[in-house]
Amino acid sequence: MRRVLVVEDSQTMREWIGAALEEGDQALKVDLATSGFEALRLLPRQTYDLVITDINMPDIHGLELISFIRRDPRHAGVPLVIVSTESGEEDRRRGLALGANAYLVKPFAAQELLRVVEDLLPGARG
Amino acid sequence: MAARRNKSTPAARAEREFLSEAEEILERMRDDLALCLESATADEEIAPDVLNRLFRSAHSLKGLSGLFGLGALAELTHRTEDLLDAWRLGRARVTADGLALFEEAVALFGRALEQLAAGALAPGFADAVAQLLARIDAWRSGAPAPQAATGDALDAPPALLRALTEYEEHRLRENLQRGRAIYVITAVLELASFEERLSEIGTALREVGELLSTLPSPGDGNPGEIRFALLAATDLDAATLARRLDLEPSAIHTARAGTRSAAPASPRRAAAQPVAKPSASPAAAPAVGEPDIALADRPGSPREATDADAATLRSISDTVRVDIRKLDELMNLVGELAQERGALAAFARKLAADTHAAKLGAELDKIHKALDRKLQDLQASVIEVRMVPLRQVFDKLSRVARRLKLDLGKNAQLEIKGADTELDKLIVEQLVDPLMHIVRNAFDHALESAQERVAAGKPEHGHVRIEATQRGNDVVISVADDGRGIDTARVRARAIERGLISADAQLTQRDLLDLVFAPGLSTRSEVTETSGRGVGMDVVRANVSALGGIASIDSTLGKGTVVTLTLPITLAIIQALVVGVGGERYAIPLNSVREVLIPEPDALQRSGSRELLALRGEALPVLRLREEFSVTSGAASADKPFAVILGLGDARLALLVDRLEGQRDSVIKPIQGPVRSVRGVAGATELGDQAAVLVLDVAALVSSAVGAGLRSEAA
Repeated sequence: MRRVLVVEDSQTMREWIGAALEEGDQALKVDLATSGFEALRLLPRQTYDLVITDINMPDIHGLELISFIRRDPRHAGVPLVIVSTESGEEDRRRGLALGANAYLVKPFAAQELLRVVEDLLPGARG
Repeated sequence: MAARRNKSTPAARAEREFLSEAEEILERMRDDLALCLESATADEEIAPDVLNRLFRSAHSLKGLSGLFGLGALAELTHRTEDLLDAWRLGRARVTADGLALFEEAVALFGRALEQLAAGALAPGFADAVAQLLARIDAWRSGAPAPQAATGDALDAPPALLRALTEYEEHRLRENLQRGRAIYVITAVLELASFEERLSEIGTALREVGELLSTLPSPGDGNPGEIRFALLAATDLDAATLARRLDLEPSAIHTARAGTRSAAPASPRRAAAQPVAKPSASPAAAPAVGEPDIALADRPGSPREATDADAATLRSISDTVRVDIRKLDELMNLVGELAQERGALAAFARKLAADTHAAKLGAELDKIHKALDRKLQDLQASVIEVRMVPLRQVFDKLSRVARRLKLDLGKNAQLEIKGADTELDKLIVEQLVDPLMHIVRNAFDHALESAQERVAAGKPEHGHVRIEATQRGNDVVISVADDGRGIDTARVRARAIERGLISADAQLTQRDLLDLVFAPGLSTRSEVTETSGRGVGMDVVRANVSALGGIASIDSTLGKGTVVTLTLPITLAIIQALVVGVGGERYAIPLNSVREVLIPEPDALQRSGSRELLALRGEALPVLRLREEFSVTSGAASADKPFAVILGLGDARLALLVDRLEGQRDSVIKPIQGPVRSVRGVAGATELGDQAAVLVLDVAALVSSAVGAGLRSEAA
């Protein structure tokens, strides 16, 4: 089973993304982190197949997290998806420059999310 | 994984979270808005942190409203986010007009959430949004957009600069323009506990400058540690900063020296070892130095290894949010269990009384006592879970007070004490409106203008003090001001005018003050915007007594007023005294029973239409429960009735009943249907023998008896 880390400070959004991922066709195990700090604690303990992160978060933000992951030998190659709102265009661009693979603009439909996941994790249907 | 959560659609699950999260965000926005207004009034710069937090709040609200297809709200949050983005990035100046528009937007968010809580956005909401947005557009087209780029090269790690958000980059430019020094601070911390130390450094930095960004880096092959590079701006020189942060000088690297700091900058010394770990000098840098040494011989602490599974938990948090209704259910179950226990006790007594089974009875009694202790612990724990500190209400009050000070131009000081006092969550929620009203009254009506105060020989600034204390099973909350006080002569005149009392009524000072709570009596003829229309102290008293509490007032003309609310700690489980009248039984919450006695026949006296009980030189109003509830069943009133002395706050009442049936635990359940509106009934409860009895609403009985006293004296 593939393992996904979702980093999002809004509880509603986090639960929604988690539920959408688990109820798609893919067999995914989802870990939810409420903040960048929590993600920093989870990352050394697990190998993830995909990371989905918000940009605007209170302690460390998505760009800092992406930069960390890309410099971490254990996760340097993990596919990264940014979820942000349309006003975050400049920061989204910076995230892609730091090595994120895709982005989704909030609000997005569960189907859009699953399509991106399918693109980045092909053949993981369970 | 799915088993850990209920199966329902993602949308349904998310919807449950939405409103509570949106409300939290809105609360935070209101706080931050108040801070902005305060800075603006004081002609100070608004803290960049506050603007950035406001931006993030609007951003989160936008995401949520988009997720739920709330078009108008999404549009409003989107444009508000835009405005805040421009402010935080310095693309537009924060002006008073701009803040006023933003304030309106926040008010609209509040309206939207109220409407959503009631079901759906009202039809007029979209129009209100469109109007406000048009005004924001008109205003923004005229607003200037200052921005100057300062792109001096910084001696900082490229990774750090590349991971800056647009906002952080703007803040960096701002600080460079001001000539502040820019430092890169390196901290190598233990993975298990980095947050605490990092937040210490962050707090210390914010005191002397600004923390611009926090970039984590993987530790050097040590899985138990993590490295952070912090970008910070301050006027301090590197050595002073190191001392302030309790760090080795080598942990601080100067990316650009300040151009306005008084102390000579000596950056190169520190720059020699840019991101080196602190050398072994633990006394000077304990938090950063220690992990290095301590972790060398234990790669990954053992706790982490065994917790590998726990780490996959969806969310690591010490607290969970629980629907208060679930707690109610739990509470009901515990209460019902307590009643079953009562039946068990009765059975044990029956057995003990039987000569053949006495031994079994004694054993059963032992088991019962053990069960009773555990049950009491369980009950206490469940009640504790429902307890929340009054702080959240008090925070709201201080916010309102800040706004009022601005709106009314009164420079008063608000003092809050006892914010950690805890009460049942449901009670705390119901207290917001009454307390808000009392605090508004204090600021709006009670406190005089600065000139009036000086003329009266008082300090120029008024003072309002909110204090909460626990007294036994009650919590007492008082709001005291040092304002003009209540003019009881005016109260009296107004009460006569309104027909509340007769012109020759003999009333004590205390009775007169109590009239403030009477419906239809307002001592100010003009109704101000702040205090609102139609909600008076009568509503405050009604709200408080619906919670089983009592509201009282004390005031001295020219000196000030104290409004005191006395409330039970919890509504859910009560110890009750069961009494009988004729064939009926009633439960009385034990916390309001002061004493029980059999009065001597001559202690009961008539005075006009009232009956009084002489008790230790005091005359208490008497209420015969049989008459109050028109009980006709059973024998006529006993010759020697029991007098149950009820007390709430300072008010007391003697309730006459036929029988006492003992003390029980009970859970009050609200009554649906016609009985609900009966005065003097708070709800129903089941006793152990499955019989339902009514629970008396002591607050209503006491205040009706005291009120009747006033009316009959007036007659």
